[in-house]
Amino acid sequence: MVWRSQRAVTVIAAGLALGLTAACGSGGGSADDDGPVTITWQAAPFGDRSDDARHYLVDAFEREHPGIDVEVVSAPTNVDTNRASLATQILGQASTPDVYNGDVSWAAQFASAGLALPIGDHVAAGFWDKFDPATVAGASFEGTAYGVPLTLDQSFLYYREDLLEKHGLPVPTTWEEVAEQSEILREAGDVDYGVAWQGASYEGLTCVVNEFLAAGGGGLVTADGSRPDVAAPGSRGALEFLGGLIDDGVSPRATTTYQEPQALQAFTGGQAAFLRNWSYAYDTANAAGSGVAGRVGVTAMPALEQGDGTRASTVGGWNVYINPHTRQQEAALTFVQWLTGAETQRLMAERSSTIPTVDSVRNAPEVRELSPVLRASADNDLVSRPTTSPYYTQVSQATYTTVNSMLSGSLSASEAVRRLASDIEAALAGRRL
Amino acid sequence: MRRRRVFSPVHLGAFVIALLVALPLYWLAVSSLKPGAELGSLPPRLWPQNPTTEHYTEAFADYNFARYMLNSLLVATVSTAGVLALSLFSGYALARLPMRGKRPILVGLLMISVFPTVSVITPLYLIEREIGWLNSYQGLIVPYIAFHLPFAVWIMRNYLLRIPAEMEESATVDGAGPTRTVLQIIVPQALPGLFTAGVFTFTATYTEFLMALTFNSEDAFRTVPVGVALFGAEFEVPYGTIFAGSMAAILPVVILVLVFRRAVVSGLTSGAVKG
Amino acid sequence: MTAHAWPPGRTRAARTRPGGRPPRRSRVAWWYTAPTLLVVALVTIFPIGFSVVMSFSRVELSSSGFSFTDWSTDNYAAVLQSPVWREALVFTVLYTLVSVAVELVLGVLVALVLERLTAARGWLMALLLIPWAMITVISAQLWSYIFNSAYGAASWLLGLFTDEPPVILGTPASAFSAILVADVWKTTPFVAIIVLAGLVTIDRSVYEAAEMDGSGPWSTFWRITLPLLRTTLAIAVLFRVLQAFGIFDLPFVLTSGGPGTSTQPLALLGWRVMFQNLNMGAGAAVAASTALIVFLACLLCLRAFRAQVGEEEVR
Repeated sequence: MVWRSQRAVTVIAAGLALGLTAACGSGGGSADDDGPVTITWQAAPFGDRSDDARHYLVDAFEREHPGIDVEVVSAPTNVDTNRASLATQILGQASTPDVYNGDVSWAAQFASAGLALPIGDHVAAGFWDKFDPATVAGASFEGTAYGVPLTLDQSFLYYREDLLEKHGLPVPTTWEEVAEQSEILREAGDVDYGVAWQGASYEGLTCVVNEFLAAGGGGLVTADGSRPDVAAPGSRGALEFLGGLIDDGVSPRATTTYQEPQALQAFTGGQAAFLRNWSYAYDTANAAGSGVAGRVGVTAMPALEQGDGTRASTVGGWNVYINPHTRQQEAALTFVQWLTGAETQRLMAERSSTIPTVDSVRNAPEVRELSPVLRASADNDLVSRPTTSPYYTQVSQATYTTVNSMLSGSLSASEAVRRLASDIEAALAGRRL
Repeated sequence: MRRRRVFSPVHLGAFVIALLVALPLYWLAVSSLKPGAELGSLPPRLWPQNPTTEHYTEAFADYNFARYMLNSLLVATVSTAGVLALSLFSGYALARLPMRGKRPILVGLLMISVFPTVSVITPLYLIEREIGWLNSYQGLIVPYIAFHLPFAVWIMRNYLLRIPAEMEESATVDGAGPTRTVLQIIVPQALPGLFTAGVFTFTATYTEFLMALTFNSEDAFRTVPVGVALFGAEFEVPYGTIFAGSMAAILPVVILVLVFRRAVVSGLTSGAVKG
Repeated sequence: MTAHAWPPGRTRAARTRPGGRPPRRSRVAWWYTAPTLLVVALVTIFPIGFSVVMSFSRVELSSSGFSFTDWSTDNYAAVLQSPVWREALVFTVLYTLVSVAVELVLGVLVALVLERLTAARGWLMALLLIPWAMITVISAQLWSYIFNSAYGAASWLLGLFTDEPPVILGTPASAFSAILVADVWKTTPFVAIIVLAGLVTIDRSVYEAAEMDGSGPWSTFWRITLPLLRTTLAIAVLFRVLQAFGIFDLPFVLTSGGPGTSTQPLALLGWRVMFQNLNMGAGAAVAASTALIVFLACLLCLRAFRAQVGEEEVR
């Protein structure tokens, strides 16, 4: 009796759904052609802590383009939450945000799921000439660019100039040196910890692991991207070293909960002598409100003595993407091209330590002069994450969850290597959730 | 007669309970008034040295908190109205009218009221996407009504079972039709039940997170829980701003619950069990 | 009892009496119930079925819509083979059992205090309702601040007793406890009020008789109070178990499922597979298997559910 009536109810329900579709499906608003148009830009604050790039960029843009208003929407702090919330919005055909900042590693996934406008089809071919071809390739999927490089990023080692000077220590070039110097500084009571880095269970840890494995002579996946490469001889040693940083007290126990803000805070609060972070950290650590302003040095990432001398630094950075459902495509394209133009990139380079994506700006002597970060980057050996795989997300999840478990003491380094190998293999084959 | 001791175990217990419940609430309130530097001070300060309302200004001026609150209030109010209207009639039918299959219906509704939301969000997401309901008010209101109806029906039905039948009978003698009877005779008597169902539905919809996160993640349609969860800044978690916004956001539901505290307690005690 | 058909009779005799206009009354009943059933079926039962269909297919997403292809059990194979899913299942089950047990014990204790409290009982009850009405996401943010390893009040407090300040959210066991504390704070008051409702229905004379028999307070509690509370407790446990099984908000904000995936419940895993990895088919398989577990649990408890209905009907 109940089952029969439920079936009837389902049938009626389906009919009702169709009716609702007809009634409500056509409710889209129409773009107003007169007057200024408004576009929304979803972006986390970037640039310098006390000088949010979003605000001065929008001000400058609106002055030059009085017909377009840009409204800033804040993005979630956690990169993975940020991506998921963008995906639910745009998969749901929301027309806003019209423009959004997204990690360089999102390009393939977002392009294949229809979450980003193929910008390459909408701008002149010559537009891309000002960028490094490798950067454009990283923002492309199947030969079409879906994102425009906004900031180029890589990791650096930040250190306390005053403390190294006090103890007559050289700027370290290997992780082993970092650990030794940390010991000296901790024993002298200058700091609680040696080095702060990102060990929480999220994308940032994958970046750290990626460069440690490379420094140890291996990598997450083989060069052709088909198989895991974590079984390479140096990998276990590299992971052991990483875990040892916490076990030996060189890095705080809380590292397993650190994302960029917490790691930066441990450094700017004076608890840690060294910091692994992206380029933005330089200006933020030197800005007003930082406890160590004026005493911060920056250098290329250290090598591992047990490795081959590679000073591996993971390539990161942000692209700007356009929502394919935007009702203001023209305005959005104008804004995106303006953001990534040479003028704007120069403005950003002058006001913060982000690395410009436009070659001519990045290589200009006066910009190099401004930025110790850019000078340090000359010694970095850049390593990419395997983001061209359509299953990169799963590869990354396998990486950061496994290594985070290892860091919190639930797995040994050799168990972690084994689990990484099998999980990454499953992920590359599309067998991982 | 024994004299009551001041420090009886019961009073001590009550004091401890009150303290444990109130401390986190106190911390929320105090932290929302601390300037940024004091939020990170060690040892934590029980009272802000330089109390400030800057976080409240930030939450409402720099972030879209006013919008989130408005969205939440709108969605919760409309959902509650819908749930009450539907549950009044179905609760009445299930309590007072002859009907075949009452028991399976009631058992089914009871089960649905505890079903985990995650099992329906993907299909609902895809359906709403097809009909263009994502990031809209109705896209959240309709599922909210459906998910909170079973429990409200349950409360209404239990409440109506206890109302004496005499007044209905005399209304019918006077020739009133069933709908008029419900509206004129039942509603006044069932008001406490409606309050209970209303407070429960409002609280549940005002605090719901998973569906709101999935269906309405566009900034203009975010509800308070989604706004709070997706709050972000690159440099640090803006706890002060989050707490300031939160203080404002929980005010309506706290006031509601305290005003209708009898209705809530009687709801909880009439076999109406849901958190 | 009048012979009129319309006013609802409350005895079996009235219900089966053929006088008046019985067809009209039952038709009215269906008219009144139909909208509710329709909405519920449309938005809950139909999607659950839809989800099952989805879980057996590959869901292709594009900017214009979605399509199902490749009917197979691949999604379930992926789910069942996945260590992440097994970990989520273990966490969810363990968390459900522990949290409900703790909340129940504490809830009974609080209820016993409330029952004996004469002064300020109304105030305490009002205070207890606030955590219950709190937006979980907000209390999760509050607890994440309290448990913060650098400047959290709880970390500082615990750090006074240990050499090194603890990293509460940094190890699986302490992260589990952190979620538990946050959940217990929000839910115990609610359990306590239900238990209190059961307590006050117990006839005082039962206690007096026990006292006459020389029963101490402890044995009275175990031999008299607890058995009489059985029905109340069973219902509270049933609802809490099924709710705890769907936990999402707290781990989402407080731990993001970490460290590793040690505090990732099934609901969070399902959501991530769907909206982070955009693997809708596999996500649906996670969701459908979760629904199946809950459904089986419901069937197991069917008697309890029916008892709820029956008990009320007799009254």
